[in-house]
Amino acid sequence: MNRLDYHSPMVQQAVETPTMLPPIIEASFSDEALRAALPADPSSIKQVILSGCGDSFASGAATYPAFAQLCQLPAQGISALYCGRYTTPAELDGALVILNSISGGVSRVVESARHAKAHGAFTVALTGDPESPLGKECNSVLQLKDMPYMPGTPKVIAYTASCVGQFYLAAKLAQAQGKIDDGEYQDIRHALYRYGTSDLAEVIDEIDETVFGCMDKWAKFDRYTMLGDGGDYGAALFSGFKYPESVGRMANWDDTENFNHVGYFHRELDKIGTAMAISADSPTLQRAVKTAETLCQLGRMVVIATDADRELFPKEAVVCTMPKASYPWMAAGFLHIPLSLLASYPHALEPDMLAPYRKKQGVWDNANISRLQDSHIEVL
Amino acid sequence: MATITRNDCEQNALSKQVKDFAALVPGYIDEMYAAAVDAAAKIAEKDSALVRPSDVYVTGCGDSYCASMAAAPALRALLPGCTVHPVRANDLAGQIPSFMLKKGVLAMGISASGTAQRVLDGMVRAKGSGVFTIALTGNATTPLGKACDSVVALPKPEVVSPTPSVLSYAVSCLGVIFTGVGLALAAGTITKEQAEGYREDAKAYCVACGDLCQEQADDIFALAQELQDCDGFDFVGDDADFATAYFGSCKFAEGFGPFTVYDDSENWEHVNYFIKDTHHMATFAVISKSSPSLSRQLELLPVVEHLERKGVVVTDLPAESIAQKGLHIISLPEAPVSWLAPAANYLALSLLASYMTVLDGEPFFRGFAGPWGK
Repeated sequence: MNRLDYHSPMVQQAVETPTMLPPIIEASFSDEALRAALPADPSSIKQVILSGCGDSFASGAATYPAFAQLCQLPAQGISALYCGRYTTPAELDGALVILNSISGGVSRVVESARHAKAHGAFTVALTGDPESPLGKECNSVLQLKDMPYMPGTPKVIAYTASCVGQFYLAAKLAQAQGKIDDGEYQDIRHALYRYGTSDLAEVIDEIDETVFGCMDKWAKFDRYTMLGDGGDYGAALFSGFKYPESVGRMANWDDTENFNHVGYFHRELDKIGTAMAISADSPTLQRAVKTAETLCQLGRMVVIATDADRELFPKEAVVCTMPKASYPWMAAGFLHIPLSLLASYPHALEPDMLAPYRKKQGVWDNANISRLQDSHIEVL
Repeated sequence: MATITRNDCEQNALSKQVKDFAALVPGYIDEMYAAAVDAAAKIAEKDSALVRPSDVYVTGCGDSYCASMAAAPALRALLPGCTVHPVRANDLAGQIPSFMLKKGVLAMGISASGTAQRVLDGMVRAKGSGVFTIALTGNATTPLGKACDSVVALPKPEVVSPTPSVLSYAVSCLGVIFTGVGLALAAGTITKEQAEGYREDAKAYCVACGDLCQEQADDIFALAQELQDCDGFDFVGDDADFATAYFGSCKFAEGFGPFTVYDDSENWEHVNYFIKDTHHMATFAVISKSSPSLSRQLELLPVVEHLERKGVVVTDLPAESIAQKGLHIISLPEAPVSWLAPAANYLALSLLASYMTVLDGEPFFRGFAGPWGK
């Protein structure tokens, strides 16, 4: 089999990241656009919340450490439901709340924006449509421009762009608050661009070959577990989301410690594929390595996306080695790329499945039920 | 092959914990209330600022991590102005930036045995950064107890090992809640009468939950039989209800080892909604009447029904108020204070896990045999 014959639109979004990303970055994340997204007085920001639904929730979970580390501010990546209904006034006091939604039309992010604004937070819409309900609701907009048009396909490049955009915004806020100087700010901008383009281009073909090479086994699993810690948990979440969306199979996610207390006990090990996102600079790297060893001892197939040395991991594990990231927070925003390929090929290979998102067929044809854009909004 | 009866399912140590819950937990509450109030008073004596923290981190592994999420609403209610962070032990051990761990912050680490290494790592790191640390553990001589500034001793339920925990979970949840009560009392935020009222409310609620669970045991057994052809279990809940949902998924995984997934009610619509094999999938929605996201949780139910999944709603809402008649309702008593609900609303899911384990013929924790025995 030739892997190139299976480069579906979902696969393409991962393998062609180095060419898809530059126009998005150049059109969307100029210094001016980033500055305009922040409040007039950036020093008023005392904490940061990144939020969204589905993929957009995962992107906040992957990138909040950049805000914490660069700006030295409390930062959290939380689901829009939690942001809109559960955040307290103390969590929103002086907060920069970045709400991510490509369409900008999902009720829950609009609700989150209203709730955050009502408690004095400064809200930023990270969206493809500034005229969307979210765009109109927020104090400012950082628009994702020049996104490839790929309707009906689980999103990968949009997620990557969201992560990169939030990284750029973290660097800009750090510079605007005087936490880093102009030179450091420019270094981060260059490092991000380079990592997502030329650095990634050097390894993506080998990663694609590695991932495709394990499809004999991986594509036949009917359930998947994704693991990661800190920002890597965001990469695990996102790649877990791709299985229900694409092939309609179950996936769950956890951190590398908690897995040992819960998911470790799942039976029918021959039906479960396990993947891990592990940043080389993760403070819990050793725990992640130990968990990889445990998984191999259980006889579970393990695929690891990492920018750490291959030698750290058990020889039985399949390892997709990404370029070493320049900053401790950076790899978490890109480790989903190999993991997305893992989730994409089963979809490309299986001939008789329902289409992605079940194509609104059968029981998924439920236009009359409130789901995402017409869900009731409540501001508490 | 002989038919397995409900009585057969009642013989294991997981069912027994559920059965004994109403009789044992009130006594545990008395013990923990006394220990927590005493510990908090001593902390306040040392430095009154310690009982008015700016932030509280609560951590644990597995069930104890669930307990940290379950008890968070209580701490938010009892410690106004304080930001409460239920966190994974890995996060406290390394991922949370050092600048957030400082004087004026309080951390609670939960481990009944006191030997969970990651919890210990997290609490040692927090203490080293100036955080005041409280261990919720068996006694002051456990490694966790020795490592922390203060200890709230947790009662040790007698349970045949290895068995998925229910009573230990109750103790962990209530231990954190009453540590919050103790801190609020020491800080003067609540009166002694209020604190004792919460203690009595908790006891009455736990008894009511235990009793109602036993009353519904026949229905729960029938449900267990009905769900035997499912091979995927999906648990949905928000905030403290998520803790209960997640705990339910833990008991299923520990009990008979099926694959379990979990999410909040919004994210579910974006992700697990798309799971294809709807006829072998059961979805459990934990919904508290007092939930701030009740409206969103209720929007989920027609979707579950439309997907033709087997749906189970665990709720304190009146059964007749659930319009989707195809869903199975497990009823809960209403908690006297909303933040007490997660202290006991997991019993039915635990009993269901127990029954399904017996029906499935699977040993708890895979018997720690084969690949699990290495």
